[in-house]
Amino acid sequence: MVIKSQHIPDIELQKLIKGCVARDRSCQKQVYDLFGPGMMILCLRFSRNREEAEEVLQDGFLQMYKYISQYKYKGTFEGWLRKIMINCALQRYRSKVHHFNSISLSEEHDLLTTHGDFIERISEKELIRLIQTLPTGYRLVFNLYVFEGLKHSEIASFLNIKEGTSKSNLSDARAILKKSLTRDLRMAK
Amino acid sequence: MSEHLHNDIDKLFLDSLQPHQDEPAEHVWEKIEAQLDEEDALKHKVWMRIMFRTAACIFALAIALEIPSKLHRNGNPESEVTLKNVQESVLSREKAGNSSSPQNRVAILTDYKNKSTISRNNSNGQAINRNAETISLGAGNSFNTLVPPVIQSKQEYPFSGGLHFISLQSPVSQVASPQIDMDQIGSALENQAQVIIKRGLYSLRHRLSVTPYFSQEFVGYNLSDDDATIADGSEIEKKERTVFSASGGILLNYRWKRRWVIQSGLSYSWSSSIIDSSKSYAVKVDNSNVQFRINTISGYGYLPSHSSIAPNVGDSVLTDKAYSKLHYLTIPLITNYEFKRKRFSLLVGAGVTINFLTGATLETKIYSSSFSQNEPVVAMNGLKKINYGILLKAELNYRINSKFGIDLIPCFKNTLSPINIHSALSTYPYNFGIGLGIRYQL
Repeated sequence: MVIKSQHIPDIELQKLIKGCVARDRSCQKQVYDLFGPGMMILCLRFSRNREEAEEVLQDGFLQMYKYISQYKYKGTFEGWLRKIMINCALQRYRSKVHHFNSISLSEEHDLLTTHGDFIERISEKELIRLIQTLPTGYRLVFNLYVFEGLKHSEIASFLNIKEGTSKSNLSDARAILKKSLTRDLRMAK
Repeated sequence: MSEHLHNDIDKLFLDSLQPHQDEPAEHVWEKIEAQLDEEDALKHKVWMRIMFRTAACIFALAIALEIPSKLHRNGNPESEVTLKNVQESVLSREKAGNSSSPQNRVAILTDYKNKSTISRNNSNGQAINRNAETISLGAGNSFNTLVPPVIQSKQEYPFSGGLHFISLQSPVSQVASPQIDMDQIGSALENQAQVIIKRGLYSLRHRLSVTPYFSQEFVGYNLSDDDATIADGSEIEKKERTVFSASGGILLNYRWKRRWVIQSGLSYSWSSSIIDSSKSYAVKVDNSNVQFRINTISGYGYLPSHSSIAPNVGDSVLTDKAYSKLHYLTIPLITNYEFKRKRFSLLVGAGVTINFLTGATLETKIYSSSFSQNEPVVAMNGLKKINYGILLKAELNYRINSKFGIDLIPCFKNTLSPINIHSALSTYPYNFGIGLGIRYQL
């Protein structure tokens, strides 16, 4: 049975962490079962497809097991693990050449604001797919800003880009997502 | 309106996806587990290798320590006369009626360390005692009465390393007198002879020598990405290469045993690296200060902006090749074992070093669309003041005369603690150097 991370008592979690430090395989598996699904959604958001997300998840967990002795119980374990996952995702991004190009966007609006019911009905998988279709740079900025709550200055230092670039990338990412949602809405009609 | 729409988009995604979870495929854990198994096996292998090497080192050290002490104890086998041999020899001489030969000289000595009685005799019948200056026998014992030893001569030879050669003469003719009970002699030799050896007032000067040297070194770095939560610094490594490294200093050599030499001293080392042209980004140094940061393998430096407008966080400038220089003072402590052959000697040693950072600077030039400027030399940050390392070295010496010798010193150094702190990488430099030195016997 998989225990969900939000329900596990701190003492139990500490025991599992200690087990992981001792490289106890059953503890490692339990930690994976606890946090794997939550981290998977994060990896999916940061990646272009499921395969890439699984690779990031795998790298992230391996890194976590390697450095788990450095976790000092400051802040939540989940937060620490998220940082590692994000770092793994960014490392993939850094190892490839990416350009933060602007792409032209036609003006598409307001359909979204007037069709709230459609927005509510759209599935999480569909939303993930939409994020994955974003160009890599946009996807990273959108994720870091919207889901991780980072400021543009922080994103800029994270990704080695200018703050202005971060802002324009976020704006473009929103515009692309909006356009995609509008198109889906039209097709649904 | 637009802002509202943007917020809607953000909210839509955040609300829909934040609580959502997605079960990863089965094979992900299988892959993780396989990787973990591989890592564990590797770790086990590394541990086994370390254990094996440690055991081999201990074994080699034990043998190395045992051989000289055995040599010391046994002396020259041809000239050795054991207690048993003394007795047998005396008895046979008595039987042969040859006991009154004036050439028979015996010395009874006591091993300084374990007090076991040993007897030595060189070809001229002279007893040799190392590290001894005076010898006296316990008063009132039968041996003393029967075989009074006489210190015949005391000489110090030029290449004896300060060892005193003492000749004791024991008139065996007295021992071999028909009136003396030989069992009594044997018993006296074995049970009652107490030889007290005082450690010679060994001249410290004879044990000491100094070696000033200069060494050209080839530097490499072991990098460890310790902090999983910050950026991978391997990109920094690709941009940097060491162009020059050297060290010079003086070693003080202290011979604490015949073949064992302890070395310490002081050396000054410096290295210079080039960092390829790259972009440097402005970061917040403190609450009121934003500066361009240039990263190196060892540490980082802040380039002050000469523009009237302060840079914002994330702004970048293109820097020309940067030159980083590191200066260290090192105190080594090395244990050496010496092999000798005629005028050549080879010291093979291992030890530890403690390194003190004395200077770290960074120099570069900034290019911008409107200007290019030479930056002043800036101090490098993120370096530890002290780090530790190990050292393996050999020292081939050719003795020119009794005072001077020339040394060729190949040496390998590796730091055990990282030289930097608060950096994307933990850097453990290692270097291989070949040095030339002159040894002067004090």
